[in-house]
Amino acid sequence: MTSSTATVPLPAPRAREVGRRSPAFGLAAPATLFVLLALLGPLALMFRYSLNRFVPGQMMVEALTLANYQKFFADSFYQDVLFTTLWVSAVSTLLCLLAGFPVAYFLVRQASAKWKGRLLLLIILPLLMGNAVRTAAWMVILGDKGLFNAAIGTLGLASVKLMYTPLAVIIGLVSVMLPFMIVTLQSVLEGIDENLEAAAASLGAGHLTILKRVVLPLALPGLLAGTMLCFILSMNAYATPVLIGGPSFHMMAPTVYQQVAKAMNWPFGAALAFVLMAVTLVLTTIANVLVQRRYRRWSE
Amino acid sequence: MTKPFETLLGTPSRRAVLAGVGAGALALAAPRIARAVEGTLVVSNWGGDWNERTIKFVEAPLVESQGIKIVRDLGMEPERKAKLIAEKRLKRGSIDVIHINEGDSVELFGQEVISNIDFAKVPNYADVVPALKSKPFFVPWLYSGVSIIYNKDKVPNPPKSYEELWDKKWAGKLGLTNQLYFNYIMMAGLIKGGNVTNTEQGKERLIQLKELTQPRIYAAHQQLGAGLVNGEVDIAVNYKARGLQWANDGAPLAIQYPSEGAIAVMFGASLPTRAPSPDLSYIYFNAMLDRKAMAGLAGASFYAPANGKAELSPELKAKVDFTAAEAAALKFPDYQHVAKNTAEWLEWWNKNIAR
Amino acid sequence: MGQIAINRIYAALSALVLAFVVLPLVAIVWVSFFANKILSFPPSGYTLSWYARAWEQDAFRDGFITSVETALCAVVISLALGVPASLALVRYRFPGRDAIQTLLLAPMIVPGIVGGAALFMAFIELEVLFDVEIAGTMPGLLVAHGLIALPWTVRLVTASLAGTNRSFEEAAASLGAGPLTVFFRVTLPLIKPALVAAALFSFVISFIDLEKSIFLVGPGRTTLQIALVSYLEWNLDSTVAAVAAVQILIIGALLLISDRYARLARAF
Repeated sequence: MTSSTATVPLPAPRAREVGRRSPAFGLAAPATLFVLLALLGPLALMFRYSLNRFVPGQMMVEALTLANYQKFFADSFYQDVLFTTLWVSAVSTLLCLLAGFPVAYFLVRQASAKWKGRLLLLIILPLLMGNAVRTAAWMVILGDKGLFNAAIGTLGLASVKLMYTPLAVIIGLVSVMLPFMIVTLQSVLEGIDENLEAAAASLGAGHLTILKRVVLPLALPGLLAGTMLCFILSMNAYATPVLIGGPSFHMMAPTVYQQVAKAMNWPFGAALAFVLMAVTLVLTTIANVLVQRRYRRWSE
Repeated sequence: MTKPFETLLGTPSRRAVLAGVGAGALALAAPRIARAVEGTLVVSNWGGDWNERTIKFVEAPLVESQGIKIVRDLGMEPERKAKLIAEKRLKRGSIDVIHINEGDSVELFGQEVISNIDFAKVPNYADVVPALKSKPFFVPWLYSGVSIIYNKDKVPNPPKSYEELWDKKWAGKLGLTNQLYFNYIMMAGLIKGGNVTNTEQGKERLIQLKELTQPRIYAAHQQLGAGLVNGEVDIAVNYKARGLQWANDGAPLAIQYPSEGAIAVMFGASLPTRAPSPDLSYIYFNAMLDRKAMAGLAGASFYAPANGKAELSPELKAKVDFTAAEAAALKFPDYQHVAKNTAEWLEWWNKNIAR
Repeated sequence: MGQIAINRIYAALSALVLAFVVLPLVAIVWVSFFANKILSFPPSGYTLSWYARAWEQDAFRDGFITSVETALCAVVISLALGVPASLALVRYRFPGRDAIQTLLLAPMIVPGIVGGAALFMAFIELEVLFDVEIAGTMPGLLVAHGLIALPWTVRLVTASLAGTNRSFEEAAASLGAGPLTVFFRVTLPLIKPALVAAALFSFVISFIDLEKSIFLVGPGRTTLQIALVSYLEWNLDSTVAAVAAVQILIIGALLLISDRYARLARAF
């Protein structure tokens, strides 16, 4: 059996079910109501807060102003924070894709069912450490006098500064997101008939050609789902940039936290949050539309 | 250990707590069951060692032993503070005692979420070092000073003052922590005969410090400690108590009290305005300041005890406490000034120092 | 290039990537035996004392229990809400279907810290308006954890339902089985692996959550992640590594057991 963690396009229900809507509403209503009440309601409230005014020493003063958004667009510092968040997320996501694909392909095409299950568990298990502890591990590995530098030191190489650099953050983010990418990709590859590849190979196509012409086009929706998932996860990353990036490395989610909890500036924190969510939403939507269009062209 | 059933049901409702207090009052009134106080006290505190020490020296021997059940709300200070402020609009209060630092107590008092304390109900308060008794809404407990902590093997001639940090020879050797950003601004304002509110000049000088020494800025105190231990930095500006803790963990560290006078940092507790059972809070405050408890805490935490009569051994006193001259020179921040500016300072710090 | 060479390249690349994924885990288990008082490298010696110390910390035991309880409740909420909704999304066409699908996946897009803070403020507003206590209570925390778990269930179960063969359900229905019987006797067994995977992911997402919970935990209910972060504020030592090692051992064992029961690999 194959299934996919990707948000697959929903199949059209069969004709006789169209119009049978009463059970559907009943089934979908609890979850829908729950998300409306527990997510959209609070977010609407947060949006309202983003229009309030901040007065030091008071949490916020009721107002109807765009000043907090203007502050973001007038201050290059916060735009830089957004820009850093974007490029770090893009690079991390790309690396996840590049590193995740071979593993997924290996699991689906080469590993036995038993080993596939075990390896998948092994991939998911490190997630359970939690971000705080994982960071402690990276500190020991990436520190100036850490495991990595000790290892390259025995090879006679000079030590490099890794901790508190963007590279360290990217390493940390990739290690958190790779499991999600691998799981998504392997479920998509699972759905591609191996015979197609064999057929292409029998026609003399090299492996890279098969990947490019057969596997990738078919896997595109899944690749997209995995990519978007990783991109969203890293746009929203909090613990990794704070603890591995250090105080001089600013990304959006930690900045939101700082404004809300440390500066007690809820209105500006809320505004930053909405800028972040809007950017993520717009980018993922564009990617979705572009890829879907491409996919349709390919599948025609 | 919390019983799962209670964990699922949440803390006892306010009514149950009140009933408990009522029962406690009755019990007090009944002469035969002397001293048995009942009820639940909700304590908001830091987690980790801070909480463990609080339990070991104060809560278990002096509060829970009286029959008071303590429920703990553990977390980092910013979110505990933010929660208390946000809950201001509720009719109920959920916290009876909040452990905070002095600076945050000023901010919380400004927001009217903590109240003045009737120190007549806290007998041990009489023994508190007079210089620390400056806030009617704050129980001083443990304090320290922002000092110069250095690796004595690598830095034979440490800076004797904050001012001497402004020197090219410390380039790449100095470590700071992000959490103390406003202490550093004050520190920079303090040098050359300045004072703790000389913060505008402090900011300019801090930029010079950054240019001169390119300090490494760590995300947390303990990361700075690790940096000192593994040799990433040789000098750190942090609380004396943290320096003593790291030295105790085996690092070759020594501590220099800055000649300008160290910026004081004080930890303690406050009484939330809507505390469900304030009577129990007072019992708790008094227990915090108990002489023996304070001595134990000083030994375990390396913070100086606020109770001047805490029974410290001479060696311990020499180690954790300040000499009379050092204590007199401590610089207490003007937290009104801090509360007014801290949001702006944080932004300034992010844009100019931590980047 | 021959197929064998290609296979070897994939195997080698996979080994490399797997090593990278597992590296922090291996490192943390190793570090948990370091004798260093402050976390650093290289080890000055080896000791088991961090495990003893971790065991002594009530906050970790309480936190572990709280986190497991919360995560189990999150699993229940996310399955109870997510499975029927997935069924509706895949099996029926109705106005707003796409919108509802997007909505149910939306909790993923919202940064945890934002969602948590927003939920906390909403609880405060609700209590002001209706006098119901939610902020700082277990139900409040569960709402948050159910919310972050739900999209995973919807993702996995819609995908699985879309891939199942409808003819079994139709056959059962034509033999006179009612819709509930069809669901419990036919559909559920068909998507069992996806259900197990959804439960697993819901559990993991809830268990490791830090940001969403920061504002929502209340007195007596500190989650393990918050207890760990709080601990690190005062001591950066191997105690947290010991906690992580034990926790992974426990959960890893549970995973292996459930794998035997439900063949997790088929679910993803």
